[in-house]
Amino acid sequence: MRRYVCAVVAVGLLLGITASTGQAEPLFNQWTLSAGGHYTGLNDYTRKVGEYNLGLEEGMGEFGLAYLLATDRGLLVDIDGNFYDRRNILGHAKYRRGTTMAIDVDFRSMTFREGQDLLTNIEAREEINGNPGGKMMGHEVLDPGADYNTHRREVLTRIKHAITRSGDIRFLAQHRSLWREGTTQMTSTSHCITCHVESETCTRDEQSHQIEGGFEADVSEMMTVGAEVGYRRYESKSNAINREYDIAGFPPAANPGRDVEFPSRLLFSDTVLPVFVLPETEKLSGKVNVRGRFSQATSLSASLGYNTTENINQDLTASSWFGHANLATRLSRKTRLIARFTGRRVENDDPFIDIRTFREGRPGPQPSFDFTRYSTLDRRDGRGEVEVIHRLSREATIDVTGGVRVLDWSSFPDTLEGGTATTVFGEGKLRYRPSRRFTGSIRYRAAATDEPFTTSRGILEPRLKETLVRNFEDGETVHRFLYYYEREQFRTVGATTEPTLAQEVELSASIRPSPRLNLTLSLLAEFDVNNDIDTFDVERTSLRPHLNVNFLPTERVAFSGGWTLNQMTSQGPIAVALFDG
Amino acid sequence: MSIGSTPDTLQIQPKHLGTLFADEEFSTTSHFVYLTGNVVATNRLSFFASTSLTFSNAELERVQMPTVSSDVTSTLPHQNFTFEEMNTYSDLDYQILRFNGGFDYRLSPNIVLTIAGEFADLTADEEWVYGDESGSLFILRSGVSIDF
Repeated sequence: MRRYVCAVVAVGLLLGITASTGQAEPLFNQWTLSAGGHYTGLNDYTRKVGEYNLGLEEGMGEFGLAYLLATDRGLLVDIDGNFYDRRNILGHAKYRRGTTMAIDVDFRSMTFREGQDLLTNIEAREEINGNPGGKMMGHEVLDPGADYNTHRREVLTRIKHAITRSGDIRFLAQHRSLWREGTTQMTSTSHCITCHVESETCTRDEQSHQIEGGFEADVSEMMTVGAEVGYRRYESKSNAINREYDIAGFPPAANPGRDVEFPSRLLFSDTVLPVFVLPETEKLSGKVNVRGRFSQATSLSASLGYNTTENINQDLTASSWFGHANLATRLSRKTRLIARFTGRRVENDDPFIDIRTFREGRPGPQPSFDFTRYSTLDRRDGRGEVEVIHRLSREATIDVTGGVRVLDWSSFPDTLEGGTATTVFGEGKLRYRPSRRFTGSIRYRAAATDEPFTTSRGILEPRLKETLVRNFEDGETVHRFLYYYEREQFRTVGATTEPTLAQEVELSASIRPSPRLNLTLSLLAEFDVNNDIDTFDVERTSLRPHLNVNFLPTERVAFSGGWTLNQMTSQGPIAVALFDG
Repeated sequence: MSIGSTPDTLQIQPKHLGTLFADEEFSTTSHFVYLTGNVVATNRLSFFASTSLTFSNAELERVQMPTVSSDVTSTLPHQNFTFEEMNTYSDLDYQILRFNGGFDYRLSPNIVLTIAGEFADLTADEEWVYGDESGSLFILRSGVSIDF
C-alpha cells in the first residue's frame, strides 16, 4: 500500500515537474507546505460522538502539501495532500493539458469505529406460576472488551486522452481499488434449545479492484459514439470463525426422546461449522453509447449495457441488461420537451437446495424441504417519462412531468398473481421570480402503484386462529405434533412496505431584502399510504422544514445559520406469535 | 385407538393459536440548528467558529393488542397479554453539541499560523443496544502553512 501511495505522489510530482519545464508562461505557480499537530482528549463513551476518530488520547503530527500550476496554454496541475493521522489521509492530483489530456488520481484513507451490540435485549425466560419455565432465549458476548474498527482505503484513477491530433478519438481508462481491514462484531444464532445468540470478534480483510477501459469518437460534428468494458474482482481474506453448535434437545429433560427427536428436525446439531464466510466475486461489464444532435433544437443520447457477476465460491451467476435513451427538443421558443426511457432486466441463477431430510428415521411425518431458491431481484424494469418545460412569462416557468414504470418479477413464483407493478406518476412545478429579491417555487408529485411487490406466502397467521390439534397415527402410537413448518403454512397475510399512493409537496422561497441578507425557507412533505393490504395499513408521513440565513453585516464579517426539522411518522404491524407446546 | 388412551411420544399437546397483531405508530423527530461565523479582524488576523446542535428522539406508541379469547387465556394461563413494556425498547433520545473555532494569524506574506479547537459532546438519555453512548471529545490543533 505504501508503495502505491509513493507511486501516486511520484506521478503527481513528475506531472508538476514536467509541467513546470514546459515552454508555456505560468499564470499561477505556487507550492504550499503546512505542518502542525493536534491532541485528542476523550471522555466516557466516544464510539458514537467520535466514530471517525482514531479513538486514542494522544498527540499526532499533521502535514499537508499543495501545488498549483496554471499556464496560458491550458496546462493545469493541481496537487493536494493532507496527513491528519495514520488512518485519516487525503490526496488528490489533477492534470489537464487543454482538452487533449485529463488525469485525476485520488487517494482516501479513513477509519471508522463501531460500537458493540451488547445483546442485552436477548434475555428472556418463560415464567410458569412464579417458577422459570423451559422456553428461553439468551446471549453470550465472548469478547466484551473488543475494539471494533475498520480502516478503509481507496485509490481512484481516471484518464482521458485524445489519441488523434484533432482530438476526435479519445481513450478512457479508470482504475479503482478498495481495501477494508480491521475487526467487526459477528453474531450467530444457535438452534432452539436456548435460542442462544453468540457474539464474537471477526477480523476483516477485504479488497476490491476494478479496471475499466474504452473510447469515444466524434464520428461527425453531430454525433459521438463510445464503448467501455470493465472488470471487477472482490475477495476476502478474513478468517472464518468456527461456531460450535450445541446438542439440540427440547427441555425439560424429563421428556423421553428429547435428544433424538429434536436434532432430527434441525439441519445441524452437536457440530462445528464455519460462519462469516464471504464469497469471492468477479464482475464483467460492457456498455456502448451514442449521443448526437439532429439540429440546433434536438439532441439524443442512448446506451446499452450488459454485466455478469459470478460468486466463484458457489458457482452462482447474476446477469443484467440495461439501457437508456434521452431525447430533448425545443417545441417552441418558450417550450422544451425531454423524453427519458430506461430499461433493465436482471436474472439470477436459481439453485436447487438439497437439505437434510426432516425427522429422518423418526415416526410421523417426514416432509421434504428441498427447494429451488429464486431471487426477488429477478425482474424486468421499464420506465418512460415525458417532461415539458414552458416559460409562462419573464417571471414564471412551469414544468410538468408524466410517466409510467412497469416492474415485472413474474419469474419469481412466490408473489401475488400477476407479479407486475405498474406505477403511474406525475409531477408539476411552478417557479416564480418577480425580482432579484425573491424566488419561489412549488412542486407536487404523485405516484400510484397497483400491486406493489407483496409476498403471497404471507408473514402472519390470521389473528386468533381457531385452536388446532394435529393427530398422526403410526401403528400403536398416536402422535400429536404441530411443527413450525405447519404454522408457516397457515400464514396468509401478505405484507409490503411499498405504498400504493406516494405524494410529495415541496415549497421553497429565497428572499433577499438587502445585498447583505439572504433567507431561504423550504418545506418538503411526503405522504405514503397502502390501504390494499388485507389486514393492516401501511402509512408514512414525513415533514422537513428548513430555514437558512446568510448575513454579512460588514465586508469583514460573515454569519450563516439555520434550522432543520425532520419529523417522520410511520405505521405498521406489531405481531406476536402465540405458542403452546 | 384413542388419543386419550395412548401417550404422546413427547407428552405434549400442542395447539395452534395464531398470531396477535396490531397497527402501531413509530415516530422520529430530529432538530438540527447551526451557526457559523467568520471575522476578519485585521489584515493579519481572522477568526472562525461554528457550532451545531442536534436533538433526536424516536418512540413507538404503546402496543394495544386486541383482547384475547378465553380459549387462549385458558390454554396459556401463565402468559401476560398486555405488552406494557414492549414499546420502550424502541425509545431513542439524544443530543449532540459540536463546536469548533480558532484563528489564522499571518506572520508574514507567505506564512500563516493557525490555532483551533474542536469540542463534541453526545448525551444519550435512552440506552440502546450499545449501552450508554454518552461521551465527549476535544481536539486542539495548531500549525503553520508556508507558500513558496
